[in-house]
Amino acid sequence: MSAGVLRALEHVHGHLAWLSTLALYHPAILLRRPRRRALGAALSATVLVTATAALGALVYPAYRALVKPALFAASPAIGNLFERKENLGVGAVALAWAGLVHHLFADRRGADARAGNVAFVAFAGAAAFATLAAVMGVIVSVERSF
Amino acid sequence: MSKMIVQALETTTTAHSVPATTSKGRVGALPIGYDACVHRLEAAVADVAVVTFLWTYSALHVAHVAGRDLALVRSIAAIPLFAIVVASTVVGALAGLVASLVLRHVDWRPGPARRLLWWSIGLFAATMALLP
Repeated sequence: MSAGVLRALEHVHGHLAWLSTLALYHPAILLRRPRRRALGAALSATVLVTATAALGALVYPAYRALVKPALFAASPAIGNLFERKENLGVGAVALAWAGLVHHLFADRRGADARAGNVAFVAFAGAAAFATLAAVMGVIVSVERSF
Repeated sequence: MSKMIVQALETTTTAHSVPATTSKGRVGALPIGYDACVHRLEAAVADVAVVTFLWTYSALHVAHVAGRDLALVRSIAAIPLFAIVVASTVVGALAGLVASLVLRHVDWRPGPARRLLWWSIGLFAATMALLP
């Protein structure tokens, strides 16, 4: 891939990351009430965060070879921030999928409805991780890019 | 005899019902029964899978930071991040599979699942904060 394409993909990844971060707050807020159904919000947020991660994974090998060494040489602290961002992004995707599956299949009808409110926890965790990752991504991209 | 069984099943599945709200604000009475039990099992499998994923990912990440990557994990992909993601996903999926077999015959209570997930999210966040 040329540098221009990589730069464009990196920009799309960054914008999509913020969009999916905001989208993850929607099911997290709706599912505070255990018996609430929010399939559309949960599904769209999960698809968005997965697409963001897929795009990041597509760019990552080139970023690792071309940008990361220079990033660590310029500022090890920001290099470490990039590492944290990657791991938190993975956590956000895993939690979003868990939240979606739980919301699809949890029993919201019985006496265990309150205890079964794991989907809220999963989406709240995913939103928190995605927010941290998005903020770290901005800091890293200000320092160095393709 | 068959009529009695059908009647018993109908009684079991419709004896209890509670109101449920939807995103459109509709309220309706939904039965609790076999269907709800199956749903709860699948939700429990998802809980087990994601908690195992988070713990495995944290452990493999710590091993990577310490320079002690497992040979099996290293052989998955040249890029450590990808290798750890794949390995954790496989372990999480296997744990979910085992849970689907074990919890089928256990009166599983979802109460502790929420607390366990909070703790797992905290562990994952602490690991990434302390060991980038």
